[in-house]
Amino acid sequence: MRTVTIPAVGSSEPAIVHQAADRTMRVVINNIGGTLVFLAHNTSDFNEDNVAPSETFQLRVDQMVVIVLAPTQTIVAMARGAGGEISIAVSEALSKEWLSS
Amino acid sequence: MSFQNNPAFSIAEARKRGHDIYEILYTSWGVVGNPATYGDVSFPNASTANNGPVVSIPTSIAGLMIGPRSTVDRAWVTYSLQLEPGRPVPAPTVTDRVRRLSVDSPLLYTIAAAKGKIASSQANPPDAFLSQYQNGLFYVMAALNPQEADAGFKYSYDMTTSQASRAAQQETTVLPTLIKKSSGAGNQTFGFDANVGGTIFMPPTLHLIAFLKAPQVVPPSKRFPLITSGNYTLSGAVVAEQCVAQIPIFGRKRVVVSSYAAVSGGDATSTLRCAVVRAINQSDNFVYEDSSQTVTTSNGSCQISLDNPCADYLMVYANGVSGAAINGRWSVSAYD
Repeated sequence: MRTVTIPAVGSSEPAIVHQAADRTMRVVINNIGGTLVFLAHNTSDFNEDNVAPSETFQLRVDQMVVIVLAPTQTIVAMARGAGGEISIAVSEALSKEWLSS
Repeated sequence: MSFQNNPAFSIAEARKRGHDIYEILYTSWGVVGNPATYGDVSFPNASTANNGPVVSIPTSIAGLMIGPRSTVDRAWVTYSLQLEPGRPVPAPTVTDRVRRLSVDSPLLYTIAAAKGKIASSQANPPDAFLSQYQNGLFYVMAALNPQEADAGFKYSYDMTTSQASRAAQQETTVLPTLIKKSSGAGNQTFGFDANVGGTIFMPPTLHLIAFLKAPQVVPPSKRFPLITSGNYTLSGAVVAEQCVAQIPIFGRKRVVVSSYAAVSGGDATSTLRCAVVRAINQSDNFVYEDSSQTVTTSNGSCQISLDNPCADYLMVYANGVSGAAINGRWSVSAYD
């Protein structure tokens, strides 16, 4: 579990929220900042200027979402203004013990 | 619910601690002095004589309202347009994008911030209109443009209309240095009066509540009741009318002034007069007092009620009596 500061669109590269390793991971994302947060799987989903991210998932202030990542899949984020912040909790989505039973 | 009213924290620090709101209190909001220093015309202070430009509010917030401790009822808010300065190119028609914040109209949506500061100075004081257009940074200001404008009112929605035909809103709460009195000749200044023992000048207070998280309910729009009182003395050498109290009543709906004057020397009478200042702007020649009510008292008490005066400042005057000392006291109650 951790809290991540999210840079504003147009200011710098997106923040990496989480990258799954070799297994499926569940990520709970809560927008605790004061501004809209854009989520995407690839940095390239933000356009060249990082200004008009149309290929993204938008998470409003005080909203929470659960996203399941396939192995090696990544979540990156940018905020609409300065001072964006999210809090995340990560856990394994499907345990190997459960799959093998 | 945790809340924040310790100015030692920055907004970012308050957010890291999970606070719901961040409170800002200015006790001399819009008082620039003469010569002007412009220290109290913006949050964060964008320009003062001593510490120079300060960076804008660095954190986006979920909402902004004028808090109950405020005595002013309006402010001007600039925010990030999320475009780089100077973009797009070519520049579009100049449009007034400054948000107006009033007691009755909290900004209940995200106000985006950007990193940066406006490079203003005493000679070039912070300007909400130009700052928004050129920089798009997050500031709260006491005026659209706090600089004194001798020729009239700067910046309206129509930038091309000539000054003479413009009917612009007077978008400021910065106190002027002079007010033309409504009674008799002369001017009145804001501040303490050497002729009066115990003059009260209550400067405007700005109390802002910044929502770090989305507010759960629509906040009430009423301010805390303004209750104040004071004493004054006039010596027998002071004959003319003197200002004994200057109270910020920005937009208060009901105002009651009570006074008691003890005049030494028998039958002499003293007059209590209330006047209000409306339409504050930076140009001294345009600010007038409007006389409200006058009552005459002799060793007694009196009361003046102002029903929805629609004014920014209440001025209370008392007349001196030749050869007779006056000991007076007054109280003001004002409610939204």
